[in-house]
Amino acid sequence: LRPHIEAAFAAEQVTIDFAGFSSETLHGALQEPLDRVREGRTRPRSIRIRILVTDLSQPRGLPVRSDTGQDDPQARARMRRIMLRHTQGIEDLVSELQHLDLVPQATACTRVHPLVPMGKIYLINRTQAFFGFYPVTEHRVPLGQETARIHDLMGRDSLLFHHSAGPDPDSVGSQYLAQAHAWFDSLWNSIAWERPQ
Amino acid sequence: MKDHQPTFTTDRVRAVLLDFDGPVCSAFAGYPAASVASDLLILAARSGAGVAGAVDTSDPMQVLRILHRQDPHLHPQMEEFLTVAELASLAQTAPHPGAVGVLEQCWASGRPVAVVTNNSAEAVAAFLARHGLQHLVEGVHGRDRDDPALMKPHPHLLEAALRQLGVRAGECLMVGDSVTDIEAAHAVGAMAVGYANKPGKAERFRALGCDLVIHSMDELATALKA
Repeated sequence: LRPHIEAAFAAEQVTIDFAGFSSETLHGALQEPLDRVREGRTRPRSIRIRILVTDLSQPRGLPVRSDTGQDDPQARARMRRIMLRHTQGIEDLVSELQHLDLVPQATACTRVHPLVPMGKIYLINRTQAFFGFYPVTEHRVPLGQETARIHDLMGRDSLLFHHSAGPDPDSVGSQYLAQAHAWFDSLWNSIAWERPQ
Repeated sequence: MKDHQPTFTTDRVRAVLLDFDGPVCSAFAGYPAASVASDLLILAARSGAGVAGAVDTSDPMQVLRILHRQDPHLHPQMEEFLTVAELASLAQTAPHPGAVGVLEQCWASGRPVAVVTNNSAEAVAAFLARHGLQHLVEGVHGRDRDDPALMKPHPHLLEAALRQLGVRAGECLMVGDSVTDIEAAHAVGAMAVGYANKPGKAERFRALGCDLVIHSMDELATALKA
């Protein structure tokens, strides 16, 4: 994924739409490309990043304890803090580029929604899509004095499937991109809301 | 007495690099460092080392460095001896409660932790597992088995930890009780927390320009809660 994101930043107008659980992998993938913009090695004229993640301020389908299948407030609060840290980190990295006058228009915005995703998707410059499944995994985690097992999503090492839009609008790649964007926009514009601080 | 510099906050801290001997436990409590150092020298002399008699140090890591430079062919044996000594010593010691508090606070706040140590990774990993702490630590970066020159203050181990965690140095806190920890932190551009667990350290750490000086690991757990 990283080489594709790096290549994306060579364009004049950079758009990345990401839908996932916490945006941890997106944050990782953006570090080097954004460093290169900061160093002046790539010079896009605009950057727009939209991040769509699960709202964890209330119990959702995941994370849950393995034994009871019920919400665990502590495990959920921790995941929420991780999500906040990554999305705020991305927003700060990107807006800084505009404040430093390196990129005329640079914004990153996060919206949250009540669904637990079954996969994550990166949509890059409206021409590339990368989709990965999110297996539900069980983790042993410390909760107060005890150790509990929880089910959550493991997104770090999932294999990504790549589609590209081409000149032919009827190609599989072009149709995939069109459908993926329609799906993202439908969520972004209907039941998602601005991530609260 | 708290050495809290009011301008330092932990909200930018995305990950923590933790030294082992000192902050987590007293690694040589079961087998004193000075004894390990002199036993290393005796072993080296018996194996035909050249200038072992002229070495004067009570720091086993320093002995390892010197012997590696002067008698590199003996290094595998010396490295093995030191690892076994660490395993034996660590079998007799437990983590400081304050350290467990820091690990748990990092876990709760979603900050991955990597141990960055001049001890052997094998000995440290065994210790963490025995005390049920392994799931609080993303990775253990112990001294390079072939090249002791890469130990802290060389930034090599910190760089490996940063790559594993996938974070920028500037977003990382390096916590250590030695000047070498602070030097290594500055070499990579990480923030540095000096754990002043002995008199005189606080002044040395401040002189080096530590971001935060603490006198107990509990202070760090508290700072990370904010």
